[in-house]
Amino acid sequence: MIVTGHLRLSLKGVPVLRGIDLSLPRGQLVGLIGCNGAGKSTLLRVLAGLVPADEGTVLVDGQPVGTIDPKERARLIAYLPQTGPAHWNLSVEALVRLGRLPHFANPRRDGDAVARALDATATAHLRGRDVDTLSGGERMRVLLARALAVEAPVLLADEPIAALDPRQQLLVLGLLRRMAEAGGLIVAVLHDLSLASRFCDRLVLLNRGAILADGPCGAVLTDANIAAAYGVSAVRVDHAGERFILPWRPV
Amino acid sequence: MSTLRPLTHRQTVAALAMVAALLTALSMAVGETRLDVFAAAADFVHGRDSLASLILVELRLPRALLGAATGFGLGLAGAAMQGLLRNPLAEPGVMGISGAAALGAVVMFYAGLTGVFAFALPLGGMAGAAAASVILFALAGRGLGTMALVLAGVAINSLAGALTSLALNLSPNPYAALEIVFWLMGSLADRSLADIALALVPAAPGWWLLLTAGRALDALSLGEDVAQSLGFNLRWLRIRLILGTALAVGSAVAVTGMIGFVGLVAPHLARPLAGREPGRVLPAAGFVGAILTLGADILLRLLPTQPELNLGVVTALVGAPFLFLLLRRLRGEA
Repeated sequence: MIVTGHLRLSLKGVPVLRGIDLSLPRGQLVGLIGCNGAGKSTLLRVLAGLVPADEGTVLVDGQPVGTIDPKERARLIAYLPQTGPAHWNLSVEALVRLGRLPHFANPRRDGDAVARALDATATAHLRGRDVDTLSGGERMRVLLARALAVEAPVLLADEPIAALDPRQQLLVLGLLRRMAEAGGLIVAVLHDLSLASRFCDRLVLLNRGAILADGPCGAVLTDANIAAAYGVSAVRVDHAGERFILPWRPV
Repeated sequence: MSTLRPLTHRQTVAALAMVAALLTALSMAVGETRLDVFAAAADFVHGRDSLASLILVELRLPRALLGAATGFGLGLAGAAMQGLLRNPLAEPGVMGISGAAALGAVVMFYAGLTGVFAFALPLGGMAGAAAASVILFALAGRGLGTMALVLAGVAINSLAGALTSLALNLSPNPYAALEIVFWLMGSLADRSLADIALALVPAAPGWWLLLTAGRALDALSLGEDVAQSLGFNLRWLRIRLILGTALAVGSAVAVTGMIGFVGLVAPHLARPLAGREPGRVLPAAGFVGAILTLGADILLRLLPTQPELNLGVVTALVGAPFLFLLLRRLRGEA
């Protein structure tokens, strides 16, 4: 579980995070939402221990993230960046296997973890392909499989469904949901409000580096909050007992 | 009937090591004087001081060992630099270490110290490599990113090149200038076993530093953020690779002079054989580098030119066309 205390961070003199207090327990799929430049990706990188905050703390299971042994932290927190490079045109299997690097090499256990990650992301049929031959969506799923192969209790994913087709978006969010139900903590940056509200346990709405709203989806996605954070009006539609939200017009 | 299976990575590296060992042996059989290698070896083993055994042990053996060690270090450092910078055109020279090593040796020539004591040249080279590494260390230690380090390397290279030209320009007599020019073209000829010991003692820990960076370089194929999230400390990795390159390449250049293109080309030849993961390329590129250097050194001794061509000239003549081929392939990919 991750707890942050009043995180502040400026990048090159521009304040990006202005006092973030969050408590993220295990067993939740948390959607991190907000407009471009709201600080979502930066917050994720701070949570992952990749950038130290100027002020405030990030505690992982009670321990400041910066003081955890890097290999130990890597086994605890998997991180999937938004647009990661993949150099050297590795094979899909070799790329996914990179997720095993924080662990002591063990061919059988590593092979099993890689197979599970490939199956979970429906990319097992691609395992022999070279990464440079994949489509954008296939590549995204393979990179997700790499993050899953770490088999860490915490997954921080920056726009994991951005490049995916509708079916794959649903499948991946379903997968993240099941991982949370199995006791994991998943924090995903999302832009699709309908999908976010359907799959997430909880939404954290960032606006200009501060938390505008944090809680169950219905309480966060109010007309006032959506207008304040995104500058749009929204329509709501009820279907089969689920409510989804459609951004309608800029305001 | 057995089917042909592709070699495992371990087998590939072992096969490359065997080819390198064979070429080392072959290199001892080639030279100006016709030599019965086995008879010469027998003489040496039995302590008979024949001319043949003298040539074998004092001339051929150092030359072959130096070729293998220098090539190994250049190929290994090339693979490490390409992995660190994730750039297929990187080579050990990009960090400016070999340029600075050459400058250090040239300063010794210029000061006339090479005639005074035997180790002046390699020690000067190592001092140059050390100076460049200290500058790079200070920058990497302060948390400078990879790209900024490359720019620092380019700056060190240009400065070392300019100062080398200055030494030539101000050279007191034309013979000294000629000597410098010839030394800069790189050669394995006429180095003593003591020279080689001087190069190998620092080179071996350098190889170790580079060879053990494989997992971190693998992680870097997904970018610096992911490598860090997989538990690798990039600042330490940069420092480790600078130190490894300085030891492995700086000490070799100090003894052999400049040998171009081996560090650039070896990783590209190793990749199709050993796999594209940077950690797998490392040992394979080392042995391919040794094969290339030994091969070029054998070739130049078989060519009927007088005087013998310099090794750096041969590797560049073979390497430059390869670079053009590589550029053509890269254009297709970009």
